[in-house]
Formats: sequence, structure tokens, C-alpha cells
Amino acid sequence: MIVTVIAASIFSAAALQQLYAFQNAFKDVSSRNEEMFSSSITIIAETKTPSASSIIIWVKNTGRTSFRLQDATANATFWDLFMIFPNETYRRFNYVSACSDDCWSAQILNDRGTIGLWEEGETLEISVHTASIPAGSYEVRLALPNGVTCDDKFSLG
Amino acid sequence: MIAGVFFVAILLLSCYVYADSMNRISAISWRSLEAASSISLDKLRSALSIRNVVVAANRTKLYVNVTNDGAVKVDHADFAGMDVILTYTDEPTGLTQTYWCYYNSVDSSRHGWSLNSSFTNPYPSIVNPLDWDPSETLSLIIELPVSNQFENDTVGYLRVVLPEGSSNGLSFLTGT
Repeated sequence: MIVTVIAASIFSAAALQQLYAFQNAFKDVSSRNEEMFSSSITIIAETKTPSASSIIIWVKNTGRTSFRLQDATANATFWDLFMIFPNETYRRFNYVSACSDDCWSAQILNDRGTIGLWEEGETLEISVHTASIPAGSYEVRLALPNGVTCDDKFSLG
Repeated sequence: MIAGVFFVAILLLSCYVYADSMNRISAISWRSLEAASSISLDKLRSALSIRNVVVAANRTKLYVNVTNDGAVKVDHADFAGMDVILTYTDEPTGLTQTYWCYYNSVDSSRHGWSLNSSFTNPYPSIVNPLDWDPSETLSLIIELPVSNQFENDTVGYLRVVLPEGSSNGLSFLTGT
């Protein structure tokens, strides 16, 4: 009888441990999915500055999730901005808060809630600084750290 | 017999933990899908149309009427979440440029938009007098910075975007 009780205990302990591990893993995945499903961003317009030194992209947070441009812990930005230029050049730009060339910077235009937090309904103005902006068709893709992306095709004269 | 009871109790506990896990996971998944479908539905059910754009005689302002053609009301607190994007040729510089306009801006050096206080806004306002309900029209004023003016006889373009991301655009003539 004692052997049976010990065997049942060992089996149950192992089974419960696996069950808890499975539960935690699934909860983690579900929480990430929840954040991703409730995130949505939309590019609403693009233009270039009169001096033709930067491309301006306006992106709207059309989801329920808020984003911070700068990761507070790592003190870095994990957002990715890719562009295809008219000459088919594919480029990835780095975020630099005081950007001057070959990088991008951004500011929230209608920051209504927590300052510095890109919340629902707010619009982000992204300035992509680049040496040359030839006339033609462009493609832009913005990717956030949680995997949400938005892209758009546009042309500049 | 005691061992049997103990074994069954452990099995029941395992079943409970498993059921509880599944319940929690289902709840999270359901919330995710609900959030995703609610965002998509809000976007699908919201629509607007720019009815008309009139350039002021001094060519420093635009008077715009926009109708809510969707099935979703825009709460008055969310007007600041709307985007007004204006493209025009500026008279002093001759440059055609696109600008994002600030809502209720007091800074006269930048492009701004506000509700036209000369009219009941939104109109008609039978229900939710402050909110922009479906089929109601908003009258907006878009003001250029003090140093800017629409160049005569040129074409401009106006785009208005709702907080959910739906948008509408309209070209206009600055007149002679």
C-alpha cells in the first residue's frame, strides 16, 4: 500500500509540475497574442520637407495598446523602419533622437494622455533624414517591438 | 483502499488544475479576439465624407464641412484624435507642401483647425449634442500660420482622418 501511495505521489507531482509549466507557457503566449491583437497602427500620410532633406511620415495609433518610443530599461529603441527608394534600394534606418542624417526621429503630435506615451488615437510624426530624396515611388514599413507592422506605398515629386 | 482514494484525489486535483488552466487560457484568447475584432469593426463601421471646402477671401483660412457617414459616433473628447492634413501651394514661397494641422492650437505660427463657432456644431445635434453622431455634419475652420497664404488659382488637397483611422480626401481650388 505504501508503495502505491509513493508511486501515486511521484506521478502526481510530475504531472502537476508539467501542467503548471504548460499553463505558464500558454499564458505567456496568450498574453503576447492579446497585446498583438489589440495593437494596430496606420500610416495616414507622407510628404517631404521643402528643403528635401527628410521624408515625413504620419502614423496613427489605431489600436488599444500604448507604446513608448524609448525602452526605459534598455534605454534604446527597438522599432524598425524600412524603406524602398525609387531606385529599388532597400534601406533600414536607425532611430536617433537628435537625428541629422541617415536616421529617423519622431514626435507625438497630439499627445493627450501620458506625455511621451503613444496612445490610442494619437499621431506620430516620423522624420526620416536622408541625403537624397529622388522623385518616384516609395515603400515604407514600420515594425514595433511586439511584431505589429504597418506599411504603405507612396510617391514623391 | 486508502491508496486508491489518495490516487483518485490527486487525479481530481490534476483535472481541476488542467480545467482551470484551460479556462484562463480561453479567457485570454477570447479577450484577444474580442479586441482584434472590435478594432477592425470600429474601423469598418466608421466613415466620413468631406462635403465642401471653401477658401476664405483673404486666402488664409479654409471652411470645411465634414459628414459622419459611418455607424460609429465620435466622442467630443476624441476630436483631438482626428487628423487634418492639408496640402497646398504657399504664396510667399511658391512651394507645395503637406502639413499636419493642430487641433485648437493657440500658436499662430503653425497650421491649426478648430470647430467653426459660428454654427451649431455638430449639426443637427438632436442627440448627444457635443458628440459627432452618424449623419451629422461638422463645420471646421483650418487656419494657416500668419505668414502663409494660399497661392491664387492653385489646387490644394485636404484629408481628414477619424480616430479609428478611416479617412476621406478632397481636392479644392484656391480661386482667383
